[in-house]
Amino acid sequence: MRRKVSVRELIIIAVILLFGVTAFILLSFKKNGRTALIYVDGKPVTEIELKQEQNKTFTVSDAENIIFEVNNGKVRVVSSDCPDKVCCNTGFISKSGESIICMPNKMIVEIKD
Amino acid sequence: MNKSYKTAVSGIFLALSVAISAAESLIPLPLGVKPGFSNLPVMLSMSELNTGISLSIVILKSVFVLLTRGTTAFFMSLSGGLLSFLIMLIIFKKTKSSFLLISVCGGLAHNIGQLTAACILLSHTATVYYLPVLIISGCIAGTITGITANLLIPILKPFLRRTK
Repeated sequence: MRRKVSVRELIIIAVILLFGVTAFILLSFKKNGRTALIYVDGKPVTEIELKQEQNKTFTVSDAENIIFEVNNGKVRVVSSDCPDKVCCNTGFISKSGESIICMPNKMIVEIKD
Repeated sequence: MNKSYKTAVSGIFLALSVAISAAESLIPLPLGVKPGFSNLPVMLSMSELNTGISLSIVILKSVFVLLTRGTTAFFMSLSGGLLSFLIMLIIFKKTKSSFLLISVCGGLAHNIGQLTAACILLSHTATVYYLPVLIISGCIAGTITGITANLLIPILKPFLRRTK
């Protein structure tokens, strides 16, 4: 049986999309965070003051193969040994609540106020 | 109904699904966002073959992920796959919706399933911040896949009818 696309379906999809876009816009108004908290395996490992560091690269214990970079209040993962590289592709984060997640290494970088 | 023909077609669908997801994993997008074309064989088998075959494609695809990318990726893949399969099955059986809506809801369910798995595996809720992005990407990816399915199914129908 051929199932036709109805107007009702398009409205449902548009409402869901609108909800997502609204939430995204609301989140983008968040202000820049002060520190970055790095978790490995659910436990906090290091806390970095974002504003005080310029062009600094570092690693943390329990996840030595991940290289982080702090610059101008922003933090990113430069390189990682994980296969999917989702953490590296996330790029720089700076807003409070934002995070970089590396599932294979069970590593999270979270920006705090 | 020819049993060996059905077996062959399900094998082709599984191979397609695995190959598409392997190809998609090469696309570098943040948060591991993917177009989700590997859902096409799942939807096609759900409507043209039967739900058992569709479910086995979802599970065996995750087993392939387990063999190639390890347990963490396996749990992520399985939770997303099973939740999206369940939602798509309910919409497919209970309503007369087109593949566009089925695919969009499947995509959203997949993202929410993966997010839940990530929360449990990381024992942290930081991932919830990405829910809006995942809703938007799920809608867009689901729309693309859904339109493709709506176009593909009439073309593939003569080829698949022999399995009925």
